Amino acid sequence: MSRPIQSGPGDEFFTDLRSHLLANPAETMTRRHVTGAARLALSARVVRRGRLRRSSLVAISLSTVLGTTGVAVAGSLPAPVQGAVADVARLLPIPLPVPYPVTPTTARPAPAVTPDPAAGPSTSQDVPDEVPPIQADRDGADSEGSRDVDDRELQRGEQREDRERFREERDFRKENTRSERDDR
Amino acid sequence: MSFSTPPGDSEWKRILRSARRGDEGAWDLIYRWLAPQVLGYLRSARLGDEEDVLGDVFLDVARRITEFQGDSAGFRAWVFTITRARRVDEIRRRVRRHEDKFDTQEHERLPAPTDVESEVIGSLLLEDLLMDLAVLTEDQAEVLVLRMVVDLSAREVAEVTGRTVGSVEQLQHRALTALRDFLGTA
Repeated sequence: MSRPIQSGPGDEFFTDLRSHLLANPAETMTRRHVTGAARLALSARVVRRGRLRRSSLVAISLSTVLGTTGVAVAGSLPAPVQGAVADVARLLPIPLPVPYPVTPTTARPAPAVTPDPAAGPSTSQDVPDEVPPIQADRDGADSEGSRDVDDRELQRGEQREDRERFREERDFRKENTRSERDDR
Repeated sequence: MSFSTPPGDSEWKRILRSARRGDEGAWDLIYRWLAPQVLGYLRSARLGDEEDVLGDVFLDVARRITEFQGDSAGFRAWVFTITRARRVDEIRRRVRRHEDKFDTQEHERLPAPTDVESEVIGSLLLEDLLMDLAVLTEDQAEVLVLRMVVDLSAREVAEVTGRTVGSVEQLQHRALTALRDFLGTA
């Protein structure tokens, strides 16, 4: 057999080959393949969407946890959140900075120290040497965070000033009593 | 509606979007455009059950269509990459089964012809043509079919077969020379 052949796609050999190879599949087969492909594409899309949704949810959760942990380690979370995160982390146990002392305390107003002139000369026992410790009040103070810390510092300062004033008055009264006695 | 030439950009985007949604009309268009070429490429390897492999190829394409990004020419090359992988699998499977390419069972699997005489003549002619191609190496025959029958560009054939463009052109040149020599002396 001898057939002309050229290098281009238009030669007789390749025309024959093309006409015999490039035949349309049977119509029943076409329908079957098309339906199968369409159904599979649809189900693959549903599966892919579900997978995408799941993985994005996991990614968001993971980044939230990691981000919160990072900020918590830096101690830069808002005080109530930082406190809550630190409480949870302490169970693991992971030490995280907390916005309040480990044994949180709350201010209690200092007892009113009003010198009673009728009470006579006062003794050193009258002077409260120590400011009563600020009692813990977990229920209220824990959630107030750093603002409470500032308040407590302020109250301590006020208590110190009261005490100084009280000492001065006492000394003044002692001095007066002594001079009256001397005069008599 | 069907097309024998690659669709334009805007039309292609619409078809691809619809196909991803599982639209049967879009799949019908894609199938009628590409199935004859895919089938021709598979027939050139004389696998025996090319139409089953064709179905598998389109199932693969449907499964992975969301991965594809590109124009219609790129899509055709991508489909042929999948087809080639299937063809290689099928050839390996046949080798494992020690099947004879020309066994009688293979002919029994052919669809029942509507016109027996023309069908037989057609098969004989095709067989004759494929016998001519058999003088080439497997790689040469494959490149020649993809270039001359399927009408892929050298770059697309390189993409499909995993070769360089230079290697494809060299294979094509050698194949044409060998075929010319054989047909001229036959």
